[in-house]
Amino acid sequence: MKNLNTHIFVCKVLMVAAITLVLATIHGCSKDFLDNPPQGFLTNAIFPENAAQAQLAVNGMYADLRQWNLYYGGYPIVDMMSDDAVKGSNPGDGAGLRQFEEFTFSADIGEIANWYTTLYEAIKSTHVVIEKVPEIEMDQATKDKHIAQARFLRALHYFSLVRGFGDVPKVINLTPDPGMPRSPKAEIYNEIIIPDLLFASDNLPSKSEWASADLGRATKGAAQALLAKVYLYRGDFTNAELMAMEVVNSQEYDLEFDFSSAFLPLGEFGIESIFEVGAVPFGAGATGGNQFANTQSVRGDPNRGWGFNRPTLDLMAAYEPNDPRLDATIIFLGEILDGVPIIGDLSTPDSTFVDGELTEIECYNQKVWVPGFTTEEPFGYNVKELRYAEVLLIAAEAMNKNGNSGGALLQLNKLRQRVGIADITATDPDALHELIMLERRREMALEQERFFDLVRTGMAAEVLGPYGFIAGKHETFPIPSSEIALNPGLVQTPGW
Amino acid sequence: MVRTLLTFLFGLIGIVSTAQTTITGEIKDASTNETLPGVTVYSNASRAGTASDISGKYSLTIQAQDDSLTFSYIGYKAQTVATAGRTTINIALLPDMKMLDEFVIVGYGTQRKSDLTGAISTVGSEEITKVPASNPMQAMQGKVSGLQVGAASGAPGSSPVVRLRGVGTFNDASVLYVVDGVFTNDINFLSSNDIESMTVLKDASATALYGSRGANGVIVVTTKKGTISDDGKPRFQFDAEYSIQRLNKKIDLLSGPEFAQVINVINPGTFNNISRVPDTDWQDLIFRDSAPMQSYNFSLSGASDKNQYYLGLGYFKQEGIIPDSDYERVTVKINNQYELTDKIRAGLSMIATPSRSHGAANVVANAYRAWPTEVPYNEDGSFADVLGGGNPLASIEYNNNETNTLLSLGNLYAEIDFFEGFTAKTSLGYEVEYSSFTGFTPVFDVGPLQENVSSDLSKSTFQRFNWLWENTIAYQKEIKKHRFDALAGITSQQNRFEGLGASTQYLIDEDPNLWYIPAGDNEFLTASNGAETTSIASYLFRVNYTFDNRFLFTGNYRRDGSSKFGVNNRYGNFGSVAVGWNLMNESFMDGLQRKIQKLKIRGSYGTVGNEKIRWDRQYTLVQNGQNVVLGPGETLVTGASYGVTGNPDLRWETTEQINIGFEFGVFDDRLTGEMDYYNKTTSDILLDLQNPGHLGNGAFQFTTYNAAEVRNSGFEFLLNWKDDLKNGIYYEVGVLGATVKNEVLKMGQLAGSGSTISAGALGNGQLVTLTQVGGPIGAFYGYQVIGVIQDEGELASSPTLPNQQVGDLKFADTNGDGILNEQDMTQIGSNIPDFIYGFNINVGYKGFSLGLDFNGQVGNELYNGKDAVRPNQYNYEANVADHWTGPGTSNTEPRPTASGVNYNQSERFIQDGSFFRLRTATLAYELPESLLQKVKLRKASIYVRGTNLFTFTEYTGYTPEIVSSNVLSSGIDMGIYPVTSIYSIGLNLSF
Repeated sequence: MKNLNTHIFVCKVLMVAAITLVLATIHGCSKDFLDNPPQGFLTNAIFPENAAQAQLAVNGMYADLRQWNLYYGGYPIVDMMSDDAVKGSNPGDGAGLRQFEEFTFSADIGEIANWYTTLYEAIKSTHVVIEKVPEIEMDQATKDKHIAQARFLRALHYFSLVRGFGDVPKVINLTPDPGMPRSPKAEIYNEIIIPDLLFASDNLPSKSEWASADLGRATKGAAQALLAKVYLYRGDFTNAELMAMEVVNSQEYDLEFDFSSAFLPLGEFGIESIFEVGAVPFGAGATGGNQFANTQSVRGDPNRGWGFNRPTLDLMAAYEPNDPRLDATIIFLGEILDGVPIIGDLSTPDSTFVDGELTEIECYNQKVWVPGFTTEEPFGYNVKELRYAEVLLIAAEAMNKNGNSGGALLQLNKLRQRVGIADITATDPDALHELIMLERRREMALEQERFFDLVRTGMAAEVLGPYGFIAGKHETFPIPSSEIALNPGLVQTPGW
Repeated sequence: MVRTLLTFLFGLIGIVSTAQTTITGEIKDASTNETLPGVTVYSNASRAGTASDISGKYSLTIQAQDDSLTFSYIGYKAQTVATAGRTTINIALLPDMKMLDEFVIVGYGTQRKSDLTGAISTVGSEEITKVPASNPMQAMQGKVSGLQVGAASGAPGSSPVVRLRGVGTFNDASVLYVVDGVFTNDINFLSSNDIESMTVLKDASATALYGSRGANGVIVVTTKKGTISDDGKPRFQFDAEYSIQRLNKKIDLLSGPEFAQVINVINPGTFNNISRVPDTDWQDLIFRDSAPMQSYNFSLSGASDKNQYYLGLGYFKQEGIIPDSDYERVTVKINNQYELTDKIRAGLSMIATPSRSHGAANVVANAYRAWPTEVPYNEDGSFADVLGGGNPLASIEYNNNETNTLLSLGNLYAEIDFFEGFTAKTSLGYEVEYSSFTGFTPVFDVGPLQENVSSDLSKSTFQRFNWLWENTIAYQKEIKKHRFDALAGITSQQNRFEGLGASTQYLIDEDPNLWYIPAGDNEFLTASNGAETTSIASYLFRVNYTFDNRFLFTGNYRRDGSSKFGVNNRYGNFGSVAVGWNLMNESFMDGLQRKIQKLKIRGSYGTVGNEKIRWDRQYTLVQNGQNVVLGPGETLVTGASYGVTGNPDLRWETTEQINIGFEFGVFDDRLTGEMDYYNKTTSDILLDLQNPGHLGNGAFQFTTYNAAEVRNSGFEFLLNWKDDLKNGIYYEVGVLGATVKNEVLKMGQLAGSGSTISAGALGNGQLVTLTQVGGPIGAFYGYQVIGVIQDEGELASSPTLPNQQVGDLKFADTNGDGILNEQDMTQIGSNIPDFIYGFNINVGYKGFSLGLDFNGQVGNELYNGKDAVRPNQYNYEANVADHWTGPGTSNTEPRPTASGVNYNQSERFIQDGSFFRLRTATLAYELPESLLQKVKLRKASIYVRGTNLFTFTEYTGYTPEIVSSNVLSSGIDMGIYPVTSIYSIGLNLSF
């Protein structure tokens, strides 16, 4: 009897052991048991998957526009490469940037690699929306607005890429091939930039249709203005005129009464603003700041920033004597700006002479001036990606090319009338073209347009040759050498 | 496989038999005629078993008529006798002179040492308690060939950095500890007195059963259990030890007048009257003359023939030689096993350790830097502002922190014997840790560079909870010349962690009672929170086969599925095969067996994994804080986007290891030895590589890949001689050593900046290590020093760096291009020692014994980072007094400078960290039996011990065995808390 009891007990225990093993097997084989995603984070597998997350992903694209490296790797090197500006700051600070002034840089230089990689990072953010939002069940109109914003921003970044590098890898989704080769510039224009902007202009609300709290988002006008600029770069003056005039005739925009207001806080999201990047002065990153202006702001006393991108004597000479835009574009030592006396930097020579000839004076870019006394306020500067003045310049240039000098003069003189200087009256297309380009230089100085304008119009070798520009080479930046090392599919641009 | 197991289990239910006989008897030692308790008695047909009681008697009920009983006991030859209808069987067991049946711990079980095919070293309790320290691993220094026990800090309660057979990863190289079957990363919570043995598993044959966690080596810790005592009564053991710790060496720094002279060279006229400058020795001021360490352990243990119990209670306290640093803990240990029936056993093992520590102010570098011409106090008694990094005494004064931890680890298990030779075991292990930290810095104003304008409070807590459930079936069978055992198991484990931290400023009062985060809105409040959960599910399998005690075979296999591995690589397979040959049991060795007791050759090959990887890198995380500023009021609106693209292919690092070993014992086993050659190649090492930019990860971002490969190879040996002399003296001498050659074979599949790793950040922008193909991991990297530039001519003719001047160090233009630049930096050292060794001597005479343990390392370089980083003018080491003063004055010590070329990363800061140390010297006296009987003690001994009594090294810093847990930045001395010399007196009582 005792033996039987023992036996039953053994059986019971064995049953328990068997169940134990079964359980352990269930534990071990269960897929969920081994699936422990990171805690406190969402992963790409589950984001964005609803309307609220779609909105987060859309907002997230705009954050890239405040990345320091998105603007030419942090420094406005394309201004330094033009006749408008030199490196700035004190002679030793960022000395390597001199290579851009002198066109001695190579594919190894860090700024272009940072710019290039950051542009693609921003493109990735747009692909989160373009690829993932269509699968979300949500209001179709909102969905279309989301995707249209994404495609506008993707076009903006690709436009930077083709202006900067020419042929580039054509990434159109979140999973590009790591060995992707370069695609021809024309293909990027025709298959990404132009279709994206057409889609955006069809699906985005106009500036007045957006709620006031949404100011800063991409608009129909922004898409049209950028498209006008793109057509101008493509030499398609008919469409450039068409798009520019869409913007002009939309009644959504006008020039600020005062030229300076277009750049000051009081002009932010104002009548002249077509697309600008909102920022608040609380440091870069998640807190909402942008270091773009800090990099160029007055160095020394007042201490507003690093003081890079110094306007040249050549730029100063480009203005007519009575053009108030000179003083509104450049901060000179000794002036008092918004009640702040500009003393300047002790480590920076007030005047620089080479062979007895004055080559530079200490001065700063006033277009990034933010009233205040510290280095913090410039972090709140809104970068002006597109303003109405440029649309007028595009319209004027395109109309002149299309044989409508009268229309061109009408648009062009709006800029001169604003600052109270005499109208231009030339009607010879070539003469007028030159005058429009000169006006473009004065109006858009230090807004990173001049270098690209010179390249676009074939004037770069003539104007920049004395600084070191080599035709057939410096029209674009080289593909960063680090990229070529990492991606065997890339072939360096000829000449580099 | 599961189905097969179930069939096995349920099939058992059908077994019933009828007749019963009870056999009783007495078991004795054939040579001494003393009774033997604890002898296993096993009936081969009925499959019943028991053990002899304390008087050597046994009683066993068998069911079969034709049965046979096998009597086995460690150290004795097993005997099998047929029952032949008898009811009383007395037996005398013969001692096994070959000691073949010595068992050693292996993964998930034990194995006869003679059958062992893997490289395994065991260290017993006596050695483990030899070094006074909070962490039992401290006692392992110099005790196991191939095991390096280095120091990241000598602070109270600090854990050593342990490396086995070199470094096989760029990531976490720490060994796996298995404490009573539970996996853990550190054993700081264990009292050395509760440990029975520590077994170091080294080769693939020994570690493969730990699969993806075995690649850095495994140390199996077995805690003490109760054993049957000869009088059947419980045993009480009391151990007390009191120690004094002292700084064993001071760094030779410039005195006040010497420093003033040097400063006057750099900045003429700084000190006008050198003979009258103060001469403050900051090292004397920050280090206490002596700091106590105490350890008390009490245990109660015993066993009946059915149950075993062990209860340990310990208290340990270590004060630091830097004021206000200490560590104390209480350890509670329970180890019980119950035999429920003949076939079923259950048990529990549990450790609970509350501990508290106060961390030292970071003043070692501070005292090194402070000008000796400064005084610590102002005339009014307040802290003086001290040039050279601030007043170290003020740093000590204003440092307040406390960490409280409760750690518990344990294991509940049950096992059952079934069929013939089968044992099923289920075991549920756990580890929990709760830790909280408080740090407080009051407002103070010693000087402009040493002030705190607001009080700072920081708090953090974390909790860990791990569980481990293991189910195994073991099988043993011996048929004639064949001995076979096998193990199969299914296990699952989950580890959970969560941490929470918060800090604030401007407390309303500095009273410790207010060191809590105040409620309510507070603009200075910051908080962070993180958590992670990981799981592993595994299958394991082992077979051992021995033929005729001559040929040995072991096979291991483990399949690990881990949540740490990317979805595309969730399961990894690991395994090993090993063979051994006991030559002494061969017939051709007949006749030699009087001289040779042991002669074995063994070899193993296998692959093992390392899962201590940056597993979160498999995921593409969604980044918050991608915010947009919108609207005329410029409102910050939240956004999110994808961060760096993860690598879903990410998986474990794989170590492939070959081991060839040789063991012998001669002269009646008085001389024993082992020798091993190992060669392990770790591939798929995780490495951060830069991606092509068009993938959209942004500037300066990296993705992690399984991309690098490293090889460690070397020889290990162990020799031991012991003998009893006729006159009552016995002695033992042992020596062991290991070589390591570490070489990076491959780095990265993509070119670019991922193909080398610069690390070893000094904090001044310099990265002084470079890991690259062809060199060792974390090799020091910098300029070679080829002298001092003696004159303008030499300056003009030598390649120089900008601002290099006469009297500065001369660096080698190693690539010979005539230009001195970063391209000329080369490997200038490595922290990985070429050779690690230890030797020990024990001599005894009657009750006295003297033990000396030495250990050392050869070929480990150190980077004197505290000397190299000089953002301000600091004090110098004494060598600067002999600086260059003009042509021909010195070709080694440059002109004194506060910064500049001489502080570029170079051989100037590389020092040889080789050392030879008297690790412990112990003189013990065991009281004679006659005296013990009067005071009713079983055993009593007293001892005095010195630890780290002397260390021969050329290293100028405090501690030459510096190793960092970060393998890429190891051996950089930024001013570590010194390892001390310790003088102890102790008492062991057993009653």
